[in-house]
Amino acid sequence: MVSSEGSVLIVTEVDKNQEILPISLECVTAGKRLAEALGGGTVALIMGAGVGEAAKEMTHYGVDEVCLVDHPDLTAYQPELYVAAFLQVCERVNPRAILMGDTLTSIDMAPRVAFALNTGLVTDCVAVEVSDGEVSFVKPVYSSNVMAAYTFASEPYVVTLRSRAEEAAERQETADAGVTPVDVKLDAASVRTEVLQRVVEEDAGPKLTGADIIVSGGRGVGGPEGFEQLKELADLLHAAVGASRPPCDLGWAPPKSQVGQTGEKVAPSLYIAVGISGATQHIAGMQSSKKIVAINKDPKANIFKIADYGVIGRWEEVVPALREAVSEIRK
Amino acid sequence: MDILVCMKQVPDTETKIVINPEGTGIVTDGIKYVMNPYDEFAVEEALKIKEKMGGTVTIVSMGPQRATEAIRTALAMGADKGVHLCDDAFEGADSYSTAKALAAAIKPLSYDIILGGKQAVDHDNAQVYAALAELLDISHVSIVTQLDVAEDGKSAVAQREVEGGAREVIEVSLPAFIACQKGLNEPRYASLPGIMKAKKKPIDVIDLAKSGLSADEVGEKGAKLKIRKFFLPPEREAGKILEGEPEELATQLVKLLREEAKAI
Repeated sequence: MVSSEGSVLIVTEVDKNQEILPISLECVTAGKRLAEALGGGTVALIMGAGVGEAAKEMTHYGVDEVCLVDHPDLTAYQPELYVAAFLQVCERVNPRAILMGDTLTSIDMAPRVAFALNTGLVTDCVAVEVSDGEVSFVKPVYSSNVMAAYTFASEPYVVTLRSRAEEAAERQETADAGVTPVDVKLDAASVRTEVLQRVVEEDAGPKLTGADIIVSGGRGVGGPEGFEQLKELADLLHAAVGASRPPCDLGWAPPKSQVGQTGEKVAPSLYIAVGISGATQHIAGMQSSKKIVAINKDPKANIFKIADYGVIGRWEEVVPALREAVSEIRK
Repeated sequence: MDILVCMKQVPDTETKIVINPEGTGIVTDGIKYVMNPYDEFAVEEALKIKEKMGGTVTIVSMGPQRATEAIRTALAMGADKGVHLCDDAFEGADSYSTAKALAAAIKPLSYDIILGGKQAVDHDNAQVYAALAELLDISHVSIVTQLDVAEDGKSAVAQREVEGGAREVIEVSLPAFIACQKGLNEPRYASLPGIMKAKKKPIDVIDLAKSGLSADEVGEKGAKLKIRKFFLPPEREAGKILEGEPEELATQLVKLLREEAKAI
């Protein structure tokens, strides 16, 4: 039986190899700060089938307790069953706040959970702020032109945290927390959506969200061949390849590589914008990057206004030279 | 098929947004409003389903008087009628009280499928559709890039994006809420005859009394989230500009990224 009543519940997600997602460890960092403000503890929740090892691993990240829901019907994410399991855990834990990563799974589940608990939800949260005992949650609105700080008029607070908004909690050798298995009752008849097939995209390169470095191309890159060159640079840097909207619309780059208002919102350590002019909608998706490099032949390009390092030059010349220079230091 | 589309009118993403002096919202004067771009995919998909299976397309929208324009746009694209939740009491809603009001407007309607954008680009909450599905006790499929409704109209097969760069093919029993993502289709433009016809199509205006809800349940009063403040994001300043020969530039940049930025 879970005893940490009134705590912060941190939803832990794992990848297909049962490895804990970095975003979940970032949630731990925010969760601990939040728990301190609320005067309770932290409980990490892992749901799935055969996730016992991941639960054990989770005890090394400084949470007070790990809740494990291990059920054969929870093999892959399925909204009805996951929401049902989650609500049963909430009944037991009675959390004051629920933190999840802003992953596609959480985005699917969080609104239903929040509504079922009769409470509000802040999605895409980039900062959990505590001042004078008041907790507020900040998220970008209006194409990231405005930041909105929200407080809750209800509990639990339900929040999905944007990737890389916080540092990941560090692994400790000692494991202080225990693993508490929680039994849930699931009704297979409640399932109204059935997964017929899972299609894994062939492109095995690093994905945009969560990538440490992103090399991104715009209309200036000129065509699919240009993107192949960017891919080579990205491979050297172990980076993901992104794009502004025009290359995606023109089919030079896959739609899922689009960074911006109507694409992914990213915050890598380093964002290299190649041949990107810097339209507002693109900037909305990448301005939280720690460092921005812009490579563009037009010195008046908007992107230079926000770049930490602006390289004025033709990308056709700069990118190969950059590849050389990077290979040189990697030797 | 009775097809519903949830649609929101939002500021054009090109519009300059100014925060009001109280820091509680934005200055609405001079803003150009458009149909939420993701909702355009929903309207288009609804029209395609209607073309294939027959039926009616009803646009459901909550917003002030001006939202009529966006509803008319959808009607001009080919939708049949509109339902407009319009009352001062609905103002200042969060996703929670928005979903409540939409559900109240939708419950009396007959529907086989509900479509909407995966998020509105003003507050980017991406939560109303799933909350609405919870309230209506129907399923939802999020971030859909392909949709095929079965011939009997009882189920649909949808492709959705999932974590880890994969896609899922999902069979969902109807009615369900389908949250539309870019890539689903190419929204049509309203034709001139379409615009003319739209003027005569009915829009049912639902105020607070007609919604059957109390003032405490909707708008700002019914919201679970309170705006503490709106503020401008920290401005990024332009940094170093590098010029010269490509090799020089590359060496200089790598040095800066390594030693100054510690980014590679």
